[in-house]
Amino acid sequence: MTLEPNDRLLAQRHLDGQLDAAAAAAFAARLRTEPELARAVAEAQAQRDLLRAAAGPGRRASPRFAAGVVAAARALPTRLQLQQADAVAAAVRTCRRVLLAAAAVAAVGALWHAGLLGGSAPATLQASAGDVDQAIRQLDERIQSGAVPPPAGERGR
Amino acid sequence: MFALTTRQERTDPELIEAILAGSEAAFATLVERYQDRVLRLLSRYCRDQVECEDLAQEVFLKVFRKLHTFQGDSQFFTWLYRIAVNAATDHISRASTRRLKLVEDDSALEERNERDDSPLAPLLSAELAGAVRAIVDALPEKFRTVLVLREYEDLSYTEIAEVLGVQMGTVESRLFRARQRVKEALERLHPELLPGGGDAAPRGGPR
Repeated sequence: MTLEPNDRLLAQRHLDGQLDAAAAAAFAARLRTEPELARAVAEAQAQRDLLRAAAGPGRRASPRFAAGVVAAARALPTRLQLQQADAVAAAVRTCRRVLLAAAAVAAVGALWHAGLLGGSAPATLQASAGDVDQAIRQLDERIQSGAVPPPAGERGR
Repeated sequence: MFALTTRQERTDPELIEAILAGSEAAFATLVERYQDRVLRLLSRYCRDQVECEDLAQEVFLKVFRKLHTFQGDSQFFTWLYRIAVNAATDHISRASTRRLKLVEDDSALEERNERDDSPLAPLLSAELAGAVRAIVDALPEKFRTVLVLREYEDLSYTEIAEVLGVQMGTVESRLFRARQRVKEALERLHPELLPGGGDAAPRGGPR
């Protein structure tokens, strides 16, 4: 028997402490009566323990780390210069976007003007009465020869 | 909590205000407050101490440069973590040809296992620990990061969503899929590490 996906999600929330008090109590009650669910939670907990044991506590900063960072920060431009640089960069980004948008509009306009965007194509299909008659005759011939099935309303006549 | 804060333990917003006013000491305090957390996070992506500290310095300098853009509508540490995660993923993409591992040197592994207070730690050999880390390391970036933030940094779903700039549902879904992938990889490569998965218990020493 396998767990429903919803139960697996509930088990994950339980493991991560993401259930509110009422949901946690209800889930705890289910764990006491549903061994399959309890087994899934135990397996997930075991996997978490394994990952944490394998990863270890991680590195710590060496004693002179903070002093080194502060010294490196001292070499940076002043706060005012940093803010000005940010403002300039933002203005350049805005200008670039405006120029790109203008260029795109100009390009589309030029293409439309040159008739490459289909602007000069007729809005309706056009054919002479003779062409229409000929097309209908050809279609009739194909239906009679069996190459094309007749329309639904024509069947059985 | 706030009322108990002593004068020496200035809050993050107080420190940020002081840094923006030009206080070098406040910046030093902020770095000291978060350096171990940032190093711990980055050590999931770096090979050695020097590489981690270089990357951590890069993170803190970016924090310093961009501090005036911090809006204060989220916790400072989630903003800091976002910068750190971005730096780590950039670092990985820059170094993709040399295939980063969580940690490669055995001496560091042994040191870690000695310091680890997890109940499994003394039972897990360096070899198996490396194998498990390699499985996490091989996950696609979006799954790996969400797993690192949850399992190793113990961030809540809300905090992870803030760090990654995604919805809570996305966090939950990625976490679920990440764990599923790890489980499948363990079943395939190291079933002995799973409960009832094999005869070889994850004991220390060579297998």
